[in-house]
Amino acid sequence: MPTTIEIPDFWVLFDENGVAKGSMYGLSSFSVYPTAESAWKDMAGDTKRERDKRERAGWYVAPVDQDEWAGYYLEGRKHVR
Amino acid sequence: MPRNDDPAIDTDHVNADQFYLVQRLTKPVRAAREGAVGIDKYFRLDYMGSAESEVGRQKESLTRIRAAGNPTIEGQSFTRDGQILEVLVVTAAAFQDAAWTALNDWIVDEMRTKEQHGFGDVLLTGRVPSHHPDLVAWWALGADVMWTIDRDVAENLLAGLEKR
Repeated sequence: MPTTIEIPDFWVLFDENGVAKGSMYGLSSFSVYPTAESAWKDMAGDTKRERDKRERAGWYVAPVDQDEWAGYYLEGRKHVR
Repeated sequence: MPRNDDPAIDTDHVNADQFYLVQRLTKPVRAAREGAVGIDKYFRLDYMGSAESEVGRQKESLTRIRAAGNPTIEGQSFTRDGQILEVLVVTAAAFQDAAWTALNDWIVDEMRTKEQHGFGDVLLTGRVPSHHPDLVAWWALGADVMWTIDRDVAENLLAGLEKR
């Protein structure tokens, strides 16, 4: 049975308060990030220790549409998980 | 035209070389969300290459413009084949002089930019290209220069910079 993967426009990294700390395309000319886990690994820190520390602090990644991106990433709109 | 009389405000980056990344701004797809502020309230940022949105060029530029303060609208006419086109630049007052020089230099240099910006079509025809019907403004991310040919859009750029 075929599987459909919906790749978002962006993955955005949010801190525990829902403030954007990082951003990446779900799909670009150079890379594809089909899951939140793949985006998390690339954005949340260079080492597992760093990523684990942020995860414990409540950081997370969430899919964001192009239309929503500027609000979160440029203008500091808080994301609600 | 306003001058940069404040030596603390650096304008060295406001030059044509910094037009290598030009962000397209389009009309929002839907009405502004409740609570939307700033640029997000009036515009949709069109898809760009990964470098812009991942490295944070838009955020850096917005921060520099707002830090310099006092954003203004300045107009200048361009003439091509007898057609006059008014271009309105929106940026911090301290950047305006350098912004106009940069924009002129960029146009003279055939608008070389990494991304397709569509402004050449505007200069040629006075209209946005048909494949970008919602395109309303441009933003040179490295140079902190925003511009449009529409007065209402210029007012929205100003309001966006002022977070109104």
